[in-house]
Amino acid sequence: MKKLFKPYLTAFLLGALLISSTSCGDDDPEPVEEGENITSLTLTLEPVSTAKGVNTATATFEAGTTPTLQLVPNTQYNATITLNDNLHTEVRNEAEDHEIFFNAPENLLVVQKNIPEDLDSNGRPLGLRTRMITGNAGESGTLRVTLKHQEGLKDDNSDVSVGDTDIEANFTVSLQ
Amino acid sequence: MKTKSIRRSILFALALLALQTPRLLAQSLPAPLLEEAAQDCGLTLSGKVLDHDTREALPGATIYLPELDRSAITDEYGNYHFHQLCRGTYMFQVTYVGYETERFNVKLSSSSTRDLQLHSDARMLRTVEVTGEHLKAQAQTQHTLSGQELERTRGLALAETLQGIAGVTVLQTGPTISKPVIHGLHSNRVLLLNNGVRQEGQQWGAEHAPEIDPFVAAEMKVIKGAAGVRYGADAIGGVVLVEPKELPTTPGITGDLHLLGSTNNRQLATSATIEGNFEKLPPLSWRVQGTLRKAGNAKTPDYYLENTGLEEQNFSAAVGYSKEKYGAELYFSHFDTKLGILRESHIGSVQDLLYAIERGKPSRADKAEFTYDISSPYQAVQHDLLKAKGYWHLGEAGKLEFVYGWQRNLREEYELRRGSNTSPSLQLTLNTHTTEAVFEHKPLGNFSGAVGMSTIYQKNNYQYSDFLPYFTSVTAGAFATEKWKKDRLQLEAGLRYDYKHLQVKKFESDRSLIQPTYDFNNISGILGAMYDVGYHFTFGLSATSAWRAPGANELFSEGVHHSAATYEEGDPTLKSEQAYNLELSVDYFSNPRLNGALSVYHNYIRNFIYLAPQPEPILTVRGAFPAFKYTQANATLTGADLNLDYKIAEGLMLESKTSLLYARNLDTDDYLIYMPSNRFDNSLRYEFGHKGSSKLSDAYLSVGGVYVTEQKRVPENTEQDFAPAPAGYFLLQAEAGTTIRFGRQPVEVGITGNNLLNTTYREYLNKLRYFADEPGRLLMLRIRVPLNFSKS
Repeated sequence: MKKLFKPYLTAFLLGALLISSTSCGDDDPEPVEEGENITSLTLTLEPVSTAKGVNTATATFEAGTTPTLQLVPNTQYNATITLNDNLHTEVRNEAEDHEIFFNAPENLLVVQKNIPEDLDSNGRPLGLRTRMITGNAGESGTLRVTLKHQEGLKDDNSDVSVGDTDIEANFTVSLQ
Repeated sequence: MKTKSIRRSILFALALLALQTPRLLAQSLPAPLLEEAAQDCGLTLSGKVLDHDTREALPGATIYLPELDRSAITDEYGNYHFHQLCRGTYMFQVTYVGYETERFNVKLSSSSTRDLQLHSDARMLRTVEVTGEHLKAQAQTQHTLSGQELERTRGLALAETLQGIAGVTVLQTGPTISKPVIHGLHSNRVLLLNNGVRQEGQQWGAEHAPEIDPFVAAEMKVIKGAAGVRYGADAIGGVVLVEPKELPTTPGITGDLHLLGSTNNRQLATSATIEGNFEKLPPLSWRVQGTLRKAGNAKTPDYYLENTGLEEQNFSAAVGYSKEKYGAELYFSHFDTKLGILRESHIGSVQDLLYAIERGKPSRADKAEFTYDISSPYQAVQHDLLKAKGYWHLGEAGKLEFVYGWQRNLREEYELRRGSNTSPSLQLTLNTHTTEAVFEHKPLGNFSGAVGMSTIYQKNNYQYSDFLPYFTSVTAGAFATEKWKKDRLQLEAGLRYDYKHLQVKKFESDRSLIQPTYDFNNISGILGAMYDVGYHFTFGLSATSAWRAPGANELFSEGVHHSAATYEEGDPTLKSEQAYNLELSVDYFSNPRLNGALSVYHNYIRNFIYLAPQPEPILTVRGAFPAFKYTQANATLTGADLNLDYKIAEGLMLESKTSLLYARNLDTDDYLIYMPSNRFDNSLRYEFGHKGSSKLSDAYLSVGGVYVTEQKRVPENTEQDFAPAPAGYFLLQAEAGTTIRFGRQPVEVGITGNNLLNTTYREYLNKLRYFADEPGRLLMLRIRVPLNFSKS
């Protein structure tokens, strides 16, 4: 029987040789350079009129947090959204593929999109810049800001349910 | 054959008449004939055909009755049967390759048994080849697709091809990606053998389809249940063997051309094979083969599914040198595919998924159009296989075979992303070297068997994403199987030992490199018994086992699985899982009317690895994701597969297949998630035989349907699914085909219709069932042209 296995052994050794020769380049992995991920969203509200002495309000959302925004009742604000690492400029450059949606109780906050400088090349709003009008004193509630990636899907009917979410930020808004 | 059936139907009619309307008969038939018909016919003669000297049964021997122009062929155990004989003396002529043709006179007065003995013919070679789908070689259930049955599935992906087999279902990710599921198990629990080499792609992924061109196969075999002994670790659920045709051994050049086209996704496919053998150097033969496939967006009854096209370009080449004592073969194949994935199934958060479920269809469903273009998200996968095989016939000792295989699997996944970045989101390169040596010994007395050993060396690299770590693994195993056969009983036993070493290189979150190593080893076994009861009945009982080491993804994955909207966490302490499969089967075969096979199985899996839901969700910038962790539990999968064929009339057949499965997690005392529901597949098939025009032959027509029940056996104790299992559904299917002769050139033409009623439905085992319906009506036209380039 021993003789029988000679050809096998030869072939096996050859195979082993081949394996070891191909696996010589003993390489270690390189850390993956993470593509720039969205990790935080900052909402800045500037009063339209500075006459009343209203201050600018700002809050930053990160995973697992619900930051609070203290706003003045019955006031108009110009709202601006920025992302970490200046990623909002990328979103601005691909305005046709993105839209930011706002969700808040009407008596707390009314969000107006369609600001001329915020429209994409198809005339659809992007949502990085909006106007927000606060309700009466004493109201408080949650404002949800959702950035949706709607590549190939953004049109007149695409709402918050369409596309994939890049970030979903919740803010507690209270009016005093 | 015709006279036989007429005679039989006359007798049958007479018998019926005799029972029901004796008065009528008494008037129209003379009394003696009536008596003879009722009492003296309907006798059975059965027995065995044996070798006179060794008393060995001779399977495949032909017994011919010249008087009645009837013949029978002995089964695997040498048994033959003649039914519906009348009283009298008959002459039987028995022929068998390697034996002298002998004549026996049998006087028949009642049903009886008679063994017929043949003398070997010294002038002839004592070899005989027995083929036939009903002949079982193993106690464990196998099913083979070949010939016409396989031709009818051309144009389908590998997994869809196998769906016609009871107990085999498909796990899908939309219309383009499908994986075979055997008895409820899939991915790295089902072993694929492509041309004798273990397919090593990234099988762990539920949305990673096998990288095999089905056009290469002349035969596909499915072994159901754990089968670790012969094919190595991982075969917990079963094995799929994709076998090409043997290289030609007769001189000349021949070929095969397939042309296919379908409605719905407007698939166009062609596959061509050319093979030859050198007249001047007969041991040398060759084959080249290539396939092109292209399909666009599939269409449900109501809308197109955007970005569900596919492209595929494959080729293979083989050269073989075969002598009587030894031979060698070299084979290379390249598989290249691009698979579109439904745009709207790319979601970012659980809320997105819930929106999609609530919407009930893709948001752009009404605007979607047909196109062949594929954009992100899509997968681009390449698979190369180089195989070298050698064999030696070692005289009286047996046969030694050696196979070496090298595979390279390159998987790139392109997702939707910001910016003009054109590189993939994930790229994995897996290199695998396999060797196997098997020694089959010549039968010694009642024993036959084989011993063998195998090695696997594997290396995985990544780029762009470290979802799956770098790893290197070495596996070595050795096995022995023996079969003992005497008279009606066959026993088999086998044992295998495997050892696997795994080294992982992974970055921790603080960017330090860790290099954990693992060692796994385990034993697989098989015990089987088959008993031939006679009367075309065989019973089989098998106990088989297999084990599987946890995969690198199960040990180390960590992160959001976007297509599933879950957060998945690996467990570096997982142990191997081990399956013990018990199967009882009954085969009723080679009968004139009713044939069938029933297989009842129970697969117990110890340390079954699955994703268990965790109480606390994971908070991300995209919202909260339900968390799952790879966990081990004991599980059982119990079920039954039933095949029945009933010949209603000459040429008309009822074919029925049933698959039932009941899968439990014993630790949580709950059902296992994502298990196939019960299926019933029935069809009526009419073969025209050689009637009608001489230009047409082998014409057939088949109408049938598959009914899939709603999966009610879903986990009850924990909320694990985002939507309930979809309703059951029924699909109407039909097909027709024939061979047309243009002069001496035959052309096979066939048409298959699927979902003919354009039913709107969703399948539980399709990962895209949350987003969209299944495709609607599809007609596929197939043309096959066998080519012969020889001068003659």
